[in-house]
Amino acid sequence: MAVVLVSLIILGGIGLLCGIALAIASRVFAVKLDPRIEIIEKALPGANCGGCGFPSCHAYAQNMVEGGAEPNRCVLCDAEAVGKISNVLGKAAATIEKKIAAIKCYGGSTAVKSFDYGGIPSCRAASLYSGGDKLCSYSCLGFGDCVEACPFSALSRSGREAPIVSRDRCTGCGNCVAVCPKNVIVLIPRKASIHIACNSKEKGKVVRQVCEVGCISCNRCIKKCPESALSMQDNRVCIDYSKCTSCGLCIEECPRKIIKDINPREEASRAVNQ
Amino acid sequence: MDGFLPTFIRRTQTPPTFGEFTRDRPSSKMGIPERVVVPLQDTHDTPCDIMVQEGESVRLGQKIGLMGKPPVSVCAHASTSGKVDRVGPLPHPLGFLAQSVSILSDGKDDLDDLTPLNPKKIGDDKSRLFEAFREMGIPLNYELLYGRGFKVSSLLVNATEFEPYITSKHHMIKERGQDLVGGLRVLIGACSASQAVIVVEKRQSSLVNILRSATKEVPEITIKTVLRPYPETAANLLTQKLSLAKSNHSKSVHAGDPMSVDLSSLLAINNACFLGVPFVEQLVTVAGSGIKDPQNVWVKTGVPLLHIINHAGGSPSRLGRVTLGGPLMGIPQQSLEVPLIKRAKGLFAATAFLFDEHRESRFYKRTPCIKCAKCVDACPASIIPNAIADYVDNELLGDAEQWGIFRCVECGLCEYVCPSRIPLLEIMRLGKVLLKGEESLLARINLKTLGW
Repeated sequence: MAVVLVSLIILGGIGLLCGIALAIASRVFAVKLDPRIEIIEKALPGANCGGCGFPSCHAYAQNMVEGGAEPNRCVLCDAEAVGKISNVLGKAAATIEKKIAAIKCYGGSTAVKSFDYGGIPSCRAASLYSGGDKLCSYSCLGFGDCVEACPFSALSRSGREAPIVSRDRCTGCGNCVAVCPKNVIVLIPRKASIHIACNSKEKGKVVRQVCEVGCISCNRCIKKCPESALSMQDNRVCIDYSKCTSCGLCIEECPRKIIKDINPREEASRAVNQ
Repeated sequence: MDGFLPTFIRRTQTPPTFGEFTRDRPSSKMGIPERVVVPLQDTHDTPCDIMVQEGESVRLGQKIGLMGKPPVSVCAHASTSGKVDRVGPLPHPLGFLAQSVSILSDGKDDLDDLTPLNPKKIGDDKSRLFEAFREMGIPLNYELLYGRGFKVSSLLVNATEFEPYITSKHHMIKERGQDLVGGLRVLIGACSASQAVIVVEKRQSSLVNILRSATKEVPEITIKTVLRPYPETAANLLTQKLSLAKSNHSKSVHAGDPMSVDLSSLLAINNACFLGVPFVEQLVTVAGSGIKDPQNVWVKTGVPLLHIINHAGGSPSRLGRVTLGGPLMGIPQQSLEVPLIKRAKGLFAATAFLFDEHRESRFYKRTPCIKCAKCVDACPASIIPNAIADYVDNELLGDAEQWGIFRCVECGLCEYVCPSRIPLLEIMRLGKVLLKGEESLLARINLKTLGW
C-alpha cells in the first residue's frame, strides 16, 4: 500500500511540476501569431500546390498579413473564399481569371524521331541529348515529367503521346509549366475554348518534314477570324483571348486540325449564362 | 555500350581498354574532304563573328570567324580551300544548331599566306603572344590566363588514355613527341611556368622513354606515371594525386592550381610557331564494332563524321550508336552530318544497341539499387554515386549538392560497374542541370566531357 502511495505521490508531483512549468513557459515564450493568419489559412484550400508563388498555404497566408501579398493569388480559391480573405485583410481584391493548363503539341507518336533514346524516361533528361529524340525541336517529348509534377493528378498520358489535361482537376497552378523543358505547356484562361496545339517556330516546309500534324503557317485561320484575335508571330499562331469570341470558324478552317476546341460548348454557354 | 554487353553479369571493376585494335597500327592521313563545316559556337548563346559570306572562295588556313567574347575569343580557320556554300545555323555535335560556315572543297588545299609566329620576336609582351595564339585558333584556358595576368606556376598535361578504344594520345606522343615538347616549351616560356608535368600511365613505358629523351634538355618538364588513367575532366583529382598544389574539392579556383593543357593544343602551338599553320588538323581514333579498319587518322577539323567513318571502312547503315569521344564519356550523335570539333579525341561507332519493342534496352534494364557500393569503390572523385542518384531521383537537390554532385567528373565508371544497370551518369548530369537551372549547361557539360 505504501509503495503505491509513494509512487503516486512522486509521479503526481512530477506531473504537477511539469504542468506548471509548461503553463508558465507557454505564457512567457508565447509567439504572438496574428489571429488573421489562422482564419485566412482556413479559407485557403490547404493543397500546398505552390501556384500562388509561395511554398505553402501557410506561407502565403503569413505573407498576405505581414508582407502585403495580394489576396487573389490563390489559383484554387473561388470568389467566396477570396471575398472572405479580403474581408479579413480589409482590402478589396478582384478575383483573378481562372486558368487551365493546355498542351501546345499533340504530335505524339506521329512526330518523326531522329534517333532511339534509351536513357532515363524523363523529359528533362532526354532533352539533354540533342534536345530529345523528336526531329521537331519544339515537340512534346512525352515522358510525362509534367504528369509527375502535377499535385492534383490532372494530367494523364499513355505511351509517348502528349498528356491530356483533365478540366475537372486542373487548377492552373503552373507546376507542369515549370518542369517542361520544351515549354510546350501554357496556361490559358479557363473560359477560353479555342486552343492552338502547335508550338513550332519553324517554317511550313520544315514542319511538314518533321511532323504530320504541325502548323504549316498557312495563315488561313488568321484571314478567317472575324475578330482578328489571331496573329502570326515567329511562324506560330498566337491568340489574343481578350478578343476571341469562341465562334469556332478557325477550327473549321484549319487544314491540319491543330486548332482545338478544348472547352465543351455546354460549359462555355453556362459560363456565359452565369 | 558495344563490346560492353555483358556475357556474364559480373564484370571487372575497371573497363577493358581495347587499345590493341588501334595502338600498334600506323596512323593514316585522310585525303581532302568534299566539304568541311566549321562551327563558330560552343553553346547556343556563345557570341560569334562570321568574316566570310556565301559564295566567297577561301584558302586553307584563312580566318573565317571569331568564336566567343572579345577578350577570350578564338579564331576559326578554313581547314580546306574552296567556296563557302552556306553560312548559318547547322547541326553541332553537342546537339544544337550552331552558327557555322560550310565550305565546299575545290580539292586543291591552297595554303593561305602563312607566317610563323616567333615568340622571340614578339618579345616580353605576353598579351600579344596570347593574342597570336588566339589568332591561330589554339584552344587554351584563356579565361584563366587573362584572369591571372598570363602567369601560371605549373602546367599539367594529361596523356593518360581514360577511354576504352581510344589511343590517339598514345599515337600523338609516339609520332610527334618532339613537336609536343617543342609546343610545351613555348607555352612554358609564354606563361612563365616553373614546372610542367606530363602524366602518362605506368603501362605505357614506351611513351615514357620517348618523352624522357625528348625532354632531356628541358629541366622544367617532368614525366610522372600513374597507375590508372584519369579522364580529362578530372584535372583537379590528378593535381591532388601528384600533390602539385593544395587543391580542395571546392569549385573556386586557387592561384596555385596548375593549368591543364590538351595535347592537341601543344601540337597546334608548335605548328603555329614553327610552320605558321593554324589549328586545322587533329588526330582522332576511329574504332568500335561498326568500323572495319579501326585506326588513328589525321583529320581536318570540321570534316563531317560520315566521311571519317567511311574512311575507316564503316558502313553507316549498320551503325547503331556513334559517339564523339569514347564509349564511356562520349557524346552520342543523332546525325553523321555533324562536323568534327577541336579537341575531340576519337569517334566510337558501334553496330547495335539493342532495344526491345518498348524502346527500352534489353540488356540495360534498370533494376533497384542493391547497395553493393561498387560505384563507390569505382568513383575516382570519392563521392557516393548511388546516394546522390537517389536524391536526384526524388528531387532532393539540396541534399544531392551537399553530398558532392558537383565533384562528379562524369567519367561514367559508376554506370559501367553498376550490376543493377542504373544510369548513374545520366542521373548525375540531370541533377547538375536541375541544380543550375539553365538549359545552356547541357552544352557546357558536354564540352567538359571533351576536356574543354
